[in-house]
Amino acid sequence: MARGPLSLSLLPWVFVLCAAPLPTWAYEGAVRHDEPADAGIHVPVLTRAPELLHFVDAVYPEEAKALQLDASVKMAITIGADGSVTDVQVLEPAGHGFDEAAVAAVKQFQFSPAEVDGVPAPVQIEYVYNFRFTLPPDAGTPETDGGVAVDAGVPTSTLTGQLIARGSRHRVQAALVRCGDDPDAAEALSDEDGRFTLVTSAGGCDVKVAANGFQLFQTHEELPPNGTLEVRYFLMPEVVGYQTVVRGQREKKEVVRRTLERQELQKVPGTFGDPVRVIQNFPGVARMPFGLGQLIVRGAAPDDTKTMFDGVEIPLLFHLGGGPSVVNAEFLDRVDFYPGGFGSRYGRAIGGIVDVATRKGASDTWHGSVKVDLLDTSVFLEAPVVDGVSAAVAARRSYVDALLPFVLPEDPEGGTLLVLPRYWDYQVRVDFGAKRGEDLVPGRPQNRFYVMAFGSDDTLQVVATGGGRNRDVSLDVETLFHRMKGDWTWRFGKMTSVFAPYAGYDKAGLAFGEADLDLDRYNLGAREDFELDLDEHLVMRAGFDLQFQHLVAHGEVPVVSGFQVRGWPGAEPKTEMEDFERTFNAFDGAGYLEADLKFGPFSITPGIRASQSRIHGQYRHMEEPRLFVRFQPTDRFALKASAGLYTQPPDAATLEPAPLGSPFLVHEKAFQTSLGFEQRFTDAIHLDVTGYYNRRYDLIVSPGPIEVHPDGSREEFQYANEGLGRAYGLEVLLRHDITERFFGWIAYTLNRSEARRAGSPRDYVLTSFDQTHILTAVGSYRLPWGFEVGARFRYVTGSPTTPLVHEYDQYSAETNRFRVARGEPNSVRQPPFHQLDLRIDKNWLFESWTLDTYVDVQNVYNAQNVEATYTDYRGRVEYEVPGIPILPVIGVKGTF
Amino acid sequence: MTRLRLIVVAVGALTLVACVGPEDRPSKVHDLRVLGVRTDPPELMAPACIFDVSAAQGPLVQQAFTIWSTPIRYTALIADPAGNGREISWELWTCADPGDRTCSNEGDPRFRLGGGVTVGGELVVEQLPLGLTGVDIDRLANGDPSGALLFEVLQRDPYKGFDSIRVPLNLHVKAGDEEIWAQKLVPYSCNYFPKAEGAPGPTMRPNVQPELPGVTIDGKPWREDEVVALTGPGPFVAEPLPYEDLEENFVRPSFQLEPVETKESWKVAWYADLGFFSPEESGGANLGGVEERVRSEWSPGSTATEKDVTFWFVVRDGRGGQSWLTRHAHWRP
Repeated sequence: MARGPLSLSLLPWVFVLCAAPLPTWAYEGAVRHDEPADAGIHVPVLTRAPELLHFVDAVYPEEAKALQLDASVKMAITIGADGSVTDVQVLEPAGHGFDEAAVAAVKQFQFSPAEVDGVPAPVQIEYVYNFRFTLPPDAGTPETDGGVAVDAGVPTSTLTGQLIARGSRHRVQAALVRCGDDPDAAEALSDEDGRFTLVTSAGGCDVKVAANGFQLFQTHEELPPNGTLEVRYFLMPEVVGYQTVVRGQREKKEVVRRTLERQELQKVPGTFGDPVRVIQNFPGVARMPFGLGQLIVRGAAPDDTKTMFDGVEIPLLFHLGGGPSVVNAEFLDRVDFYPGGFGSRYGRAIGGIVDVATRKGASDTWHGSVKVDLLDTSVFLEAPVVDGVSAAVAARRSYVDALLPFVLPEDPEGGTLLVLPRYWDYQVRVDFGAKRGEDLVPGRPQNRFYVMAFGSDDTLQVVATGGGRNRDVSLDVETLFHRMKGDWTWRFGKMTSVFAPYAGYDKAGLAFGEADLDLDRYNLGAREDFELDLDEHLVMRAGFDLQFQHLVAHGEVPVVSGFQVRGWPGAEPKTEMEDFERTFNAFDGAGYLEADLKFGPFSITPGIRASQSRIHGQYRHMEEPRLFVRFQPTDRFALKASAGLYTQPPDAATLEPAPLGSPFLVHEKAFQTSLGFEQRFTDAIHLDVTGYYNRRYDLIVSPGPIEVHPDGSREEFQYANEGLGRAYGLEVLLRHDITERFFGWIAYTLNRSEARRAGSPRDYVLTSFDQTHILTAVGSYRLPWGFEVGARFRYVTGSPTTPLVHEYDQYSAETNRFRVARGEPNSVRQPPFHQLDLRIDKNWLFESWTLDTYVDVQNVYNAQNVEATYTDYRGRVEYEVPGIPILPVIGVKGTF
Repeated sequence: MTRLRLIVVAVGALTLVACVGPEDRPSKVHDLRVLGVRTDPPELMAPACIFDVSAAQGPLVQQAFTIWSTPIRYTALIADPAGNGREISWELWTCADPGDRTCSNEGDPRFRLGGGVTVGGELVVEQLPLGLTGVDIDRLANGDPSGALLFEVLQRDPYKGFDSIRVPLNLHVKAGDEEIWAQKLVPYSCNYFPKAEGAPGPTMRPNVQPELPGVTIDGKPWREDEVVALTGPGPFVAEPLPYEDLEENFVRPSFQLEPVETKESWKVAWYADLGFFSPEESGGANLGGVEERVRSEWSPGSTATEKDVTFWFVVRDGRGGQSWLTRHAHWRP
């Protein structure tokens, strides 16, 4: 403690650690050594916060002393892997000599090493050094060891307890607990469980608790002589609902990887908290009509972009075709989106990749949330099971089927009309790892495990019978999937290995009248990602990605025109029903090798992915070379470029013999290139500009060729690799990362997407996915009193459409239908789309839980956007189908 | 799975479209229309099939041409309720590409089969030698049918005539500023599974024209020469007399040349020159194999005034055959 004639005292009032409301930046130097760099799937997480072991008093500046000034100096402290302070940067200077004094003191601090993923690692924390000026005391106070001041002759007492975040029940660690303002007063730091023990004089104690991200907590306690008082203090967060973890900033190997944190995933207006829909607001993603969630990335078809859940492909993205996504946002940690040019560990996609990462369950105590809205209710729970084991569980169930009968009108035919859509999904994750506080043993490998299961089920039942109906209709559609995945992460020295096997079952069923069709698919697969961090110039990565699918299609269906027989236009005969069962096996084994070569500001990542497939009896082999180059002359600026080949195997069922398929199909291919730069303006604001050119070829299109054999029999193949496509454009993203109160971005895409069929005399024409200008602005700001407002504005060039050119009626006497005459394909556009969405959240903080209500209003000014067109029955007049009108959605969420 | 998801999306999209539907409806005949076209016979089937079309002078071809050269009778049902008996000019064309609805493809052979002026009602072209169109008569006399339009159609057919060669008959009608091209396909087929009469197994037979035996209105028989009095807003239920026994079982070849047994499931399109029918068309079997009852309800509409109303009921058998009934009523509000 500093002392002097005026007995100035320095109070390290606020010790700031963890949960930094400033951007969760990490020490730049930490990136190379502490990030496992497992090419995108693993994000290092702070598993043990550093603790201050040795505090050093700052010298009170003479100038400030003379003026009797107080001050607080906010700093960013870089703590080395050994716990020493390696760098100090003043973030909010106070002047009058305070800054220099604080920096000089902090440089002498000693911390316990922080751990990232269980391994000691350098981290950066925020720290506020508070200077408090006080007059010298009249009498000295005896000092005891450990800084605990106890008045001689006064009985001591122990104040012990736990610090808990109000509203979330998270344990508050590294908070400073003091008894009174006396500079020599006893103080204690809370541990990982938020527990503290303070030994001080018995009697009255003005307790003050200071923790980063929380308001100063003050109360008065009467401490019993020679006794112990046990308490629980609930600290009020400065910004309600804000939670994150310190983690390393991942180095970019890909030219474009856009990451969304959980906070952003849930609060973007107009997306209903749906993580996949949030991605639609990034550059390179076209807008889908009617708010559908499909991803059209750089002009590629929706099926060309794969969505992974912790590295395992999700067979079904949305409930009921275009409803909520099957991924519960509460269960997520983050979403990585690669619009193209992704690394060699990813494959089987010629568009983009979405990798959804789940999160580990809480290790401090149990938490959860319940969310209720018009469509469904979801529940999320996370808790430590035993020491070293934590679990997270989420489930959701819709009740649209129960509510629809109240909304649907009476059956107009006077019979029975039932429309019963229903869905549910679940996610479970159990983590096994080092016990809390367990010391690492140098030279021994570290292991972490988790197992996860997730699944989804959708059914749609439509029954229309009786009354004046001419035909009873019954339709049953079901899609279901289950996946179980394991994950074993092993680290030893400079080696990291992540092995992830998985198994799954998918089902799709369709019953329509007398026809019944079921598809059962069994999936097995495994991934291995191995990394060797050789030195500062070279990191090697290698791995494999195996996938096996066994598909059984069975059912009873009528003879179908076009597949088994040549139909007559407009015919709807009563045909034979046929039982059938078909089995398809598809194996795709891929291996990859990739290296990061770093020389000064240059980093070059060459890679290759090779795959060998056996799909429905057909062998296919592919090699996909890829290259990424990055030139980073300064910390804030980087140039980047990529080129590579990407392929996508045909579905097993498409390799059926004619007329159901085409056995000669090969992989669809895309050669993707990009060039761009990144500029970071501040720690939170950065700009990304990327140009791209993608050439797609061997795309599978229908119909295929028809072969006529000498005996008169015909083979009409369904598909051919005759599709050609090209997409080029520019993507601009100006982004403000999540900070204490704000996140947002402005995304602009200049895009051109064209296609043609090989051998066709027709030149390239615009695809239906072409949208020249896509501008999206998203922002969300936290206001006082638990309010948060967000807005999203979008302006998108209208989608291409083919004009109506009616000159005369064209009637088919066979089909009793009129042909709609149209002009050049996709030669005109629908009117531009523009829409503003707003979201207002209000949360109420209770002691143990938080209630959040929100209103998400789509299309605030009720823009009459054209989403589709159709014509009258003769094709004379075109009518516009408007988009979703102003639509407020209210939801309630409780978190504890 | 993708297709299943599309079903769900399609249901939603159709719901949206249904909310903003146009007022004009197929069953509401208020201007120049072609409501149906029949050819008699509806199908010309050769006794056996010729798979080697280069053998154009072979005996099988000659045998086929004996059948295929049968003249046909062409009838189009033209409605022109607002025309007050005005003149309607017409032309009948045939050409090599069924996809060419106006027979205007450059370089393709095309033939004008007739033309003139008519009025609303039935337009009949008798003794149309469609199968001989393009044939060099002198060469045909020597048994050589080469040059026939049939072969031109066959060459442009992606199925190369499998199941049947479908020769287009394109009718062009014009009155005032209204203009319609109406296409009828005439199947020239062959018997893929010839066998001796009475022998077991499936038998391919040429199509027989579907003819509705009659129709009822609100459960009462409705004769052709009768003007039924209808009063009030309706709806009035129109239903054909039982015809199920007339629906033919028929055999068609699969792509693997296996016989596929099928049964006709007739569809009826309902028309009136006042008001509308709901549904506009009924009958047929859906993909689930469920047949629809043939029945519809006629409503005069909320703005209708007293009027003599003409009704047309066009039946199709789903393999090229079609015919119609015409009925009359006097409607009062």
